[in-house]
Parts: sequence; C-alpha cells; structure tokens
Amino acid sequence: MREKTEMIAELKELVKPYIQDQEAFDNLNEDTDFINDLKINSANLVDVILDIEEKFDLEIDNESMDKMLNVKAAMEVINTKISEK
Amino acid sequence: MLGNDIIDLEETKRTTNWQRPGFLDKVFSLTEQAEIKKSKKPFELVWRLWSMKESAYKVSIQYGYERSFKPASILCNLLTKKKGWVTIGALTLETETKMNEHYIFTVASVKNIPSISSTVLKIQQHNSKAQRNTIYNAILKQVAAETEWEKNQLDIGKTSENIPYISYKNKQLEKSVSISHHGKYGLFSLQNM
Repeated sequence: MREKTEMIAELKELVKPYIQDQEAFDNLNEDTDFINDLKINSANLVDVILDIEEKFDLEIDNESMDKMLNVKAAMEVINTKISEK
Repeated sequence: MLGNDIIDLEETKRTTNWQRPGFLDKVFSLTEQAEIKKSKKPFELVWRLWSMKESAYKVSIQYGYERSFKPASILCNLLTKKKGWVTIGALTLETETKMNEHYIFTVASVKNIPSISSTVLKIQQHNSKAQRNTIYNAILKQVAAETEWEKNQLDIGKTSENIPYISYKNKQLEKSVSISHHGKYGLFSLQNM
C-alpha cells in the first residue's frame, strides 16, 4: 500500500485544476469533501475520477465511484483497485 | 419537495469537455448514451440530461437518501422538449427543463411541477459568499412581496443535510425552496407545500 501522506499529496495535485475554494484546498486532508469543501462542481468530479483512473492506471466502476465524495473515500477506492490488480 | 439545477452554457464549455473519453460512461446509462449519439444537438442534450439528474438528486436527499455520486444510475426519460421524468432509487420525479442560448435549467418534483415558480438571476460577484447573498436576498424579496411580510423578519437557513428552508420570525414556512448556481447564473425555485 502506498504511503498515505504521499497519496494525499498526489490527490491534492490532481484536484487542483478544479477547486473553487482555495482555503479548503490549502488545508486539504483526509476528511476534505470534494463538493462541500473544495466546491468542485459535479461535472468536474467526473474529471477528477477520470484523472485518478489515468494517473493510477486503474478502472473505477460506477459502484465504486458512488462513494468517492471525499479524500478518504477516494483513497480507499484507489487502494482497493490497486490491490485487485 | 423540489430540486433544481442550472448550467451556464458558456461556463460549462469552458470547464467541462463532455467528449473526453470515458466521460459519458460515467454519467449516462447506455440508453441515454445512445440518444446522445444519435442527437443532432448532443451538447444541449448532455446538459439537459445532466440538469435533470442533478435536480432529481437534490430531491432524493430531501427524502433521506444518502449522498452519493452515481449519475449513470439516475435514469432520465424525455417526454417533450421541456417535460420529462427521472427515476432515482425508488423515487419517480417529474421534471421541466427550460433552455436558451445562455443557460439550461431543470426543476424536479414528485408532483405538481406547474405550481413551482423559478427565477434566474445574473450573478456578477466572484466571491462565493457574495454570490449566495445575492441569491438569498432575491428569494427573501420575492417571498416578502408575495406574503406582504417584512423582509427583515424572513430568513433562510440550512438543515444539517444542507437543504435550504425559509423561516418567518424563526418559524419554518410551508414552502420548499431549491437554489442552484453555476457560472454567471443563479436560480431559485419556490413551491408551496
């Protein structure tokens, strides 16, 4: 499993183009919510998920995507998908 | 209970590439994707369907559904240019969509769509708090005019699920409100319960 802090840093870089709340972005942590905190619009949340697929070379099915509303949940899905490879 | 969603078409062109590989698969059912493929105006259809899904999702939250992100499982059916219906979980909702060259918006409700009044506002501010204040102010102004109550006794609050409500002298009104904002446009819809 990847180092947690490393993964948070990778996710932070990845969501950067879509955020609309700089303060929440600066304080990004496991509990940060993509929509409520970072104010990413939901169409761009699709981009975040596609970017995750590309970056980590995995496929996120719609069932798994369902839960990916915050950093922690996104990391869990990524780790599960990596371990299934 | 109602939900709404507005899309600033210029803003969405700038920020979202719906033709990006994989995008449609994540957002639309196979049937919807087939309709988009054969449509003469796929851009309009993509965002009409999106606003239908988003507004229906907002209603589902008020029915106690958990927050989720599974747009492809929210299913849209088009009846006319404006009217449609959406199924989300066990709910079936009526929708009405309005569209011009600048924006598309949809309202969704379990019933009685004609009783919903919707207002689109042009939002000039860039700060999100200022944007919210502009929309809140317009809502309270309209409700005050309708009820002939004093505007400064009216207020807008949010439940722990982030659902807005209007109150008068700290008592919640029998009126549903839904608010949406995207790019240069704000939208609010009101319906008496």
